[in-house]
Amino acid sequence: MSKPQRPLSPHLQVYRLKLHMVMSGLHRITGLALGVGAFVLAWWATALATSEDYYEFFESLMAHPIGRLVLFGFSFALIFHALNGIRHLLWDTGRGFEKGQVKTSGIIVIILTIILTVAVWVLAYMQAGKI
Amino acid sequence: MNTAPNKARGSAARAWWFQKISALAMFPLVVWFLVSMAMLTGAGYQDMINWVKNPFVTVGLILFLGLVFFHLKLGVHEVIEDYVQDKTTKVTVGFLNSAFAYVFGLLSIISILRIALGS
Repeated sequence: MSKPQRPLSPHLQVYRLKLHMVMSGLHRITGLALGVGAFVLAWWATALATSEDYYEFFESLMAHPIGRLVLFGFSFALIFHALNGIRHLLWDTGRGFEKGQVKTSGIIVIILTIILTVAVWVLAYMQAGKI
Repeated sequence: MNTAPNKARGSAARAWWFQKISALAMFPLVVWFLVSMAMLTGAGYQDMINWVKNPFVTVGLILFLGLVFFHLKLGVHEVIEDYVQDKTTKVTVGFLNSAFAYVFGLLSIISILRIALGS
């Protein structure tokens, strides 16, 4: 028996993609990605507590281009989620709901995420003496 | 009234507050952790151990890791509630989520404590 063809309420596909929708989706996606990041954190802590050899093995994995990419993604997701989280906390107090404000705060979060992520990595590479 | 819907409402409201409070509490720790990790780039095993052994760092890391896994558990639970329709699957996946968060959270915190208290 085929399902009756009932009209469906409009969902995502009928709307033009807007910044606030992308930001909302990214908040959840980065949140889930940070779950993976949390496992990396747990791995880091246990590796450090296990032995010098094991910690060096962990470090060598993180120094590999793929490891670096994971760490870069981790830092990006963390900075985005933290900044956008502040935006959510402000909304919780009833502030920043005007149309223009939502767009402006979204753009601020994106720009700050890029600047701060780059800043963290520049600091890291400077510290390692690579710059 | 201690009815099922009221209980459910209570736990959802509590989860919402916990998520917000843990977010707020974590923010300064996130900034501190990111800057510290960037500053510790290239540091070897012994430097890292010495860093963790600083009492302020030990406490900061324990708070940070505890909040991370607590906030993660709440966040993933929200996603599960949104996308998993089947009741049995929802309960099972929800239980696994909590179990993973507690196990890995404890593992991280105990590792930090072990380093801090080790000779």
